This record gives sequence, C-alpha cells and structure tokens, in this order.
Amino acid sequence: MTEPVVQIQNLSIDYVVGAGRFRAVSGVSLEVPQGHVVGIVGETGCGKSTLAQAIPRLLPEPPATIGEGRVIFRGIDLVKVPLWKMPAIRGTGINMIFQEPLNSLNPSFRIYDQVAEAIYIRRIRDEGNLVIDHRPPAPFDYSKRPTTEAGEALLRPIVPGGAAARAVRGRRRREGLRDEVLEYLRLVRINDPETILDLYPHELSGGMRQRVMIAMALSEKPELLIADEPTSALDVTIQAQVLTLMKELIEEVNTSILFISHDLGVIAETADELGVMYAGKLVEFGPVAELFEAPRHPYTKALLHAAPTRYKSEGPLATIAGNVPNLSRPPSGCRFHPRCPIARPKCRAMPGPPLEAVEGGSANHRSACFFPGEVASIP
Amino acid sequence: MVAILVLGALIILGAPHLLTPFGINQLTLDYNQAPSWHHPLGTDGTGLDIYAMVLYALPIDLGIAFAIAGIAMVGGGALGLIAGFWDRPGTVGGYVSLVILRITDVFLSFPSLILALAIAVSLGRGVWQLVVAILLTWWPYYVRLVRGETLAVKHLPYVMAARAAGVTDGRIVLRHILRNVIEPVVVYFTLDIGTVLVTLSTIGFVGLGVNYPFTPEWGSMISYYQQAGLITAYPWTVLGPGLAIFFTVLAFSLLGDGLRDVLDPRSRRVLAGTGTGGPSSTSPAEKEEEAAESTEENRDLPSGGPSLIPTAGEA
Amino acid sequence: MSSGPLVEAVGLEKLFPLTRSVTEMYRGTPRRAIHAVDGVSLAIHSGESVGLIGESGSGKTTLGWLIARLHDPTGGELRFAGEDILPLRGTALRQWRRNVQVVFQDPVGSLDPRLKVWQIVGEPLRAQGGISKSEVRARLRDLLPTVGLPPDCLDQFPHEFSGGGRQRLSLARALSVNPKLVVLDEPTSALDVAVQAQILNRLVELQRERDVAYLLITHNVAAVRYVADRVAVMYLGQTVEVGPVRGVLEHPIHPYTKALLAAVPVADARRRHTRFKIGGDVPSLVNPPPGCRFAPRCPFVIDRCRTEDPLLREIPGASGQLVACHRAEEVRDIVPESLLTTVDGSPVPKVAAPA
Repeated sequence: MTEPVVQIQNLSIDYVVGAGRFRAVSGVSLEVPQGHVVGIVGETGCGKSTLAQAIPRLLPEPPATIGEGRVIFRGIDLVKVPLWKMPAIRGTGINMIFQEPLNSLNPSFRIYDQVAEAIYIRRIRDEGNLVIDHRPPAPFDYSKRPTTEAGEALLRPIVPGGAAARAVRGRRRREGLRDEVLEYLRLVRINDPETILDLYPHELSGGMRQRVMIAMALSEKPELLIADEPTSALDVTIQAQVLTLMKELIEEVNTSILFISHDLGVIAETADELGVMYAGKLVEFGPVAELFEAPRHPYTKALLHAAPTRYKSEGPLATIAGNVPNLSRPPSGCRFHPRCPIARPKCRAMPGPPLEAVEGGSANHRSACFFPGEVASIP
Repeated sequence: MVAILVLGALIILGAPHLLTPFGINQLTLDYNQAPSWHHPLGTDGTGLDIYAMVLYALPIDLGIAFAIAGIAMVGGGALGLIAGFWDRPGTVGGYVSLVILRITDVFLSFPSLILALAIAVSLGRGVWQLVVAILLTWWPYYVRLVRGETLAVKHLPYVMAARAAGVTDGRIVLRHILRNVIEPVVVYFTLDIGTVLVTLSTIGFVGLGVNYPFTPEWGSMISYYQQAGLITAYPWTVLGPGLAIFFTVLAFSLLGDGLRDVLDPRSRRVLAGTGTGGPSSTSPAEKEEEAAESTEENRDLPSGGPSLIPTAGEA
Repeated sequence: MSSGPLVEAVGLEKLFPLTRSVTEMYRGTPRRAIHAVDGVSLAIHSGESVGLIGESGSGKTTLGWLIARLHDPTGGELRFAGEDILPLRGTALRQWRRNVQVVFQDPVGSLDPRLKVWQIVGEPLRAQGGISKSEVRARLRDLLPTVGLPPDCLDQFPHEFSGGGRQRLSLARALSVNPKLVVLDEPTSALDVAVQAQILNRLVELQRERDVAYLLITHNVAAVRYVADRVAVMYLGQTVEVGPVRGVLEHPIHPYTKALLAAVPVADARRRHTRFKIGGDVPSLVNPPPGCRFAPRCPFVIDRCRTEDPLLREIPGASGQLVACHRAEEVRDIVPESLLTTVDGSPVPKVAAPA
C-alpha cells in the first residue's frame, strides 16, 4: 500500500479575534490515500472549509493561525513551510476548486488565457522551460507521473527566470498551448471547445464555468485536488452532470480528491471514505458504505436521518435538537453531548472523546464517541 | 470624553473671543510684528492680530462649509432618493427622475470650481453669495451618491417584503431606504466638509466671496495679505490662515476616515449575520446552553462562532 | 365563501423586454424579451399546499411574485377568491395585500438590519393601519412562540439570530396579518439540513393550526414531498407537469420530472457507481424557439417535439395529473432510474423514495 497523499495529524487552527482567540478546528487527524476520494461533511461552522483551505495554506494567516499539528505532503510538513515558498507546492502539488466559479475565474480574461496559464505553470515546473512543439499531451493517468520530493520542489524558483522563460511570456507564445487547452476542455466533456475559447466567464453558464475550473485544476496534474463545495451553487440536473463528470475523471485521471460538502447525497455519489466534522472536531471517519449502514457516532446517525432524501410523507421530520454550539465557548467534554440522545454524565465530564477505531468495522473506521456500540440502538 | 470634545468644539465655534484677548477686527498698535508670546501668529500692517482673526474666521468658515455641505446633502439627497426610488420608466416618477438626472448631469459636466467662480463673480462679494455659488455646483454629487445607494437597497428582499406587507412607498423610503442609505452619506459628508472648505478658501483667495477684513475668512485673509505684496517681508500673515485651513481639512478627513472605519466593519458584521461572537452574545449564549438542555423546543438564538472569513460553503 | 379555488391563475405571462442596441433599432429587428413566465395556469385552493419545483430559469420565483402581485404580469388573468385582482391599484392593492404574504429566500436580506424585531415582524400589522404600538407588541408576543421563537426577543436585532431564526422571523412577519396564502420562496435553501427539517416541521404544524394555503417554491424535491399536497414542475417558464404530490413524485410522467428526480443526490453508497445520462444546459430564456422547450435535452425526443408546443393535458389512467408532453402515454411507465446507468453492472439504486 502506498503512502497516503496527504496526512493531517492533530491539526488545530485558531482565529485571533480582537483580544481573544477561538479554535475553529481542533485536533483533526485524517489521511487521503492515493487515488481515493475522501469526503468531509458537516454543517455550517463545523470548520470543514477552514480545514480545506488550511492544507495548501490559503487561509489569511494574520487572523488565522495554525495552532498545532502537522500536514504531511510528500514527506514535508506544510505547516512549517514559510508562506512565501508555498506557491511552489500549490498548483502542481495541491490544487483547489471552489464553490462559486464566477468568483474563482478572473472575469477580465478569456477562457483560453485562463486555462493556458494553468498549463503554462505546470509545463514550466515539470520541464524547466516551455517547449512549443505541439506534441500530444501525455496520457492522463496521474498515478504514473513521476513525483518529486517536496523539498526538491521547494528549491525550484517560483517564477522561472532565464532565457527559456523569457521566451514564453506573451500571448504569441501561449498560442502553442492551444492543443493542450482544447484537449483538457474535451476532457471535461465540453463539446466543441473551440467555441468557448474566446468567451469570458460571465458568458458561460454555471455548469460550464465549473467544468472550466475543473479543467484548469486538472491541467496542472495535481497530486491532491481539494474540492470545496464545487457543486453547491449549481442546479440539480447540472450538479448531477458535473458529479458524473467528476466520477468519470476520477477513474480516468487517477488523482486523489478531498471533497468538502454539506450534502450527504453529494458525498455518497463521489467519495470512497467520509469524515464527519462537528464543531471543529472530526467525529467519525471511515468507508462511506459502512458509515451509512452502521454509523458509530450519534451525530452521523442524526445527519443521515435528517437528510432530505429520507423525508417521509407523514409525521414530523427528524431533526437534531438544539443548536450548533458557539465555538468561542464550546461545551465541556464531548461537544455533541447537549444534543446527543445517548449522552451520559461521562460525556460531559471527560474531555473530548478520542478518535479511535471501532470494533467490528474496517481498519480505518474511527469514531470519537465513548459509546459507539450504542449508536445502533438509536431509533 | 466625547462630551469634553463637543464642549471644546462648541467653545471654539461659539465663543472664539474667549481664546484671545482681542475683539474682532480690533486694531492694535503693534504693526507688522513677528509672532511672539503676545501675538502668537503676529500682526499685520494695520495692527490686526492674526491669531485673533484666524480664530474669528473659524466659525465663519466652518459655518459656511457646513451650510453648503448640509444643504447640498439634504437637497441633493432628497432628489437622489426620488430619482433612485421612483425611476420606473413610463411612469410619472420615471419622467421626474429622468429630468433630475439629466439636470444633474449637466451640472456635473462643468468643473465645479470654475463654475463656482463664475457664479461668484456674477453675484458679487459677500457670505451668502459665496454660499449660493458653491451650493449650486455641489448638490449634484449628493444626488448621484444617494441615488446609487438607493438603487442598491431598493431591490433587497426586505424592501420587497415591506411592499408585500402593504407599506406605502413614502414610508418605505423613510423607514427602510433612508436608514440604510444614510451611513455612506454621512461619511461622505464629513469628508466633504474639507473639500468645501478648500473650495471656499480658493474662491476667497481669488478675491471673490467674503470681503476681508470686514469679515474674517481664511481664504480671503491669504488673498488680502498676498495682494499686499509683503509676504516676503511678513510671511506670518499668510502662514496663520494657511495652517488653519490645512489642519481643519486634515481633521475632517481623519474624522471621515475614522467614521467610515467605525461604521463599516460593524455594519458588515451586522449584515453578515453569523452571530457577533463578541460580548453582546455572551448572555444569550449562556441562556441558550441551559435552554438547549432543558427544552425540546428549538430556540434559535445566536449560534455558531463568528466567521470573519466567510469561506465558500460556510454561508 | 366560494367553493372555487382561492387563487386562480390563467395563462399568466411575464416578459422582461430587453433594450435594443441602436443598430438593432435601425434595422428594425423585433424586440427581444426574456420569457420568464410563459402562459402558466395554476390553481391553489384554500388551506392547500402547492409545491412549485424547478431549477434556475424555470420562472418559479417570478410566478410566485406574480401571484403575490409584486410584479405586474404582461398577460393572462389572475383571480383571488373569484375576483380579478389585476386591476387593483394604490390603496385597494395595499389593503388586498393582507391576503397574500411572502417569505423570501435570503435570511439575511429579508430583514432590515437597522430595525428591531418588533418593528420588522410588526410591519405588516402597522401598515394595515389602526393598531397601536403596544397592541402590535402584544400580538407579536403571542405570535412568536408559534414559530418557535421566544416571546421576549422583540427588541433584538436580526443579526443576533441564526439563519433558521431569521427565517422564523420572516415567517412570523408573513403570518402576522393572518393571510390566506403564504408564498414561500426557497425558504430553506440557505439553511443547514437539520434546521431545514425544523422549519418544514413548523410549516406543516402551522398549516394544521390555521387555515392558510402555501405556495412552496423550491428546488428541494423532498421538502415538497413533505409539505405539499399538489406539485407543479416548471421548466423554462412553463409548467410541464402538475398533479398530486405522491402521483407526480412516485410516478413521474414528463421526461423532465424523471430527469429531475434521477438527478437528486441520494445518501446511498451505491450511487458512487451511477452515472447521470441527461446532458445539455438550460437554454436561454430569450425568445425561445417553437416546440417543446425540453426537446434539446430530452432522451425521448421525436421530430414533433421540435415543432409543436405540447399542451398540458390529462392522461387516461393517471387521474389528476396533467402533463405537457407529446409522448406522455408512451413514456409514462419509464422509471427515473432508467436515466441513470451504473458502471459495474449493478442495479441502479432507487431514486429518492419515501421512507
């Protein structure tokens, strides 16, 4: 078994607000195995987006600070890397797509320019210069591409200098990337990609924009792709199309994905493993099918019951009593205990239950509950 | 603290003679004296104490500036509200707002200073002439500002909800639109005081407007002493009013900036609405913890932590 | 009290004309318009819940606002309790407004951030006139617990409430004048799943307690299944299927309804291996071409679909369900699952079925 692409160990992220600080993410540990899709699900305010943005260190570091923990990628701890060196890792190492593509695409540039820029960055980094020879792009199987040690990647200059790089600046040179741009647009199932090359982002529909974003992200051949609610802003049928596209790409391209969503259905469609977050902590982690059939944490079970597709025609809908806690003053002990149907005095008194493997489950099925065996008995 | 400042401001504005032993336009026998303890900013050729004149000019200058900016704000603002709210094409309101906008455009197409100068020339010297001259070139900016803000607020759901509730248009404007529009207008007004001050000083400097030395006013003071041609010999005569203009405009600029900073993040947090997470939410949060354990009923009191960074998906 | 429907919309149309460029004016090209709502007929009965499902561009929000008289239709008729309400203007319109209230989608933008709760929720009451401030506050103190809010929050500001709390405030505001119909425009899409369930529970309870009709506009199929009695599915400004909730959602006839139900993500791990087969984007609303609007994307399309507009009609054997499809009889038994495929040959898991 190969090493996981990224390993998060006991990561905590704090926000410094005025005089105080509050902990948005507390002690999260998980890993993304090579070639797998790991989903993270949780309600608003649980810290999933904060976690996602912290991995490539995209959080604005003055208000946000990484309190403790490590993020191991390619053998290097990303938390220790100084911010100005991070661009070398982003893009080709870790890439990210966001929820609202209208905000993520630059409205002043045409589609061709934006995709070409992504390809340009990758080619410069991979090959040291930009060879314009119109050869067909290498096969899409990312598991076969040679990976370098992160340390080595950091040593390379971020902005390539020298005659080779100077030769490729400017649009005329980027014309040479046209074939590859079209290839990637076809990869994301855009028919007749020539027609959209000259369009601006606002002239495309939401689904098309999101496909362009995916094409841009994949053209850099990242080892890890982080998708932060990529389909939440799309209509239902378009979302289904984009999810189908992503599933097909996962097979073809063989990249690893960290998929963040608030919708359990979307996670079920795409993910192999699932992590459930509540109030900044990871409360359960494991294979998707196992979590759905036999959840070992009360919150997971409650979320599954409250999921819209299980709505009945009669009777009150299942809800979760209470409110999401205020993270500046979290509940003592287990953070879910005020709302948990099987809470005991131990849950309030003992500090946060550790994330431990459950009995009778897969090796990587872990739950942060003192009484995981009793979850099955919750109606 | 604020009370002390306000009191100080009122004293300076209302009773400048408390800060200087000399009365307004009082001639002393000390001609052309350089600044000294007795005359902090020196005297001029006729024996007027510069410091006293600068002080006496303060209420006049500020008064004129506030009057101009204030009338422009109220008048231009009202027109802006009308032009912004009742601007559906094809209705009476639509035509009225069209007319307002076109007239505003005409006035905006002139450089305001030149136009003000031209009007001032035709009206002659005097305080009220000065006010009218600048006012006529100043009101269009407020029309534009208020109209823009009105348009932004007009389509928000709570205005729609008020319409659906049956609230009359006028009341919608006064209750909803006005309150939410007034904030940037006040900030702009504060910064505008400085601009108006510079403009009226410029008009004074050119020799129009107020008639110094009968009426003290900084711009006219500078103009008067500069025309006397004795600046090189007696530079303090223009230094006094010049510094006064500089510091006053600076003060209002800083005030406007500070006002904007104070109002904006709070209103942004207000509008973001993801709980305040500050001292104001401690007691409801405490109540909430107990309530959540004791009641089945869900009471939606402040929840979640402050999300200063509205990350995608955390909406 | 008439026994006819509370709200009757016949052939409602709302066009938003686009301004022409100077060249177009010179050439005399006809004016183009966005056909937001194009000939929709809908009836809502007293005390009933009607769901309006569709994606963006379907016109469901515009239709809701037309019924609430927040927009003026460019064509068609609209009757409320038998009376034609389109000619209403001014004071008469304002007084009529107490009959239909609206709850909006955006929990933040729906409430004026500068006003206190009692001013916001009490606004419709005060607008109808003749009620003193203390009377308003007294009534609100009774009203707020019915939506699940503490009665002593009258002097708080909207930003002190969570998203779910704000939607309850909007709901309280709408119910304060005892309307006959509440139009709910995506009331839960900005909320978390658990809070959505709470709000929907509350809506159903309130309907039992009062005699109020709902028009629930949403893209959330499961919410409609729970709250609504009847449902209308809209696509590009037209209704494509109307009928009782169980009938339409369990046995959809129109291909678009089938596609919509197949597309909804289900929390079922077997969905990992399914693929959705319907391609294409929602076409533009500007001057749509003749024929069925779903034709470019429909898997069952025939030539007739591209030339002739299908009309809403009743299909023999499916009583109460109206469908606008030329091939309704042939495709009616095709299940939504057939619009999905699996890559490993396993059977397609059932789409969102009632628990």
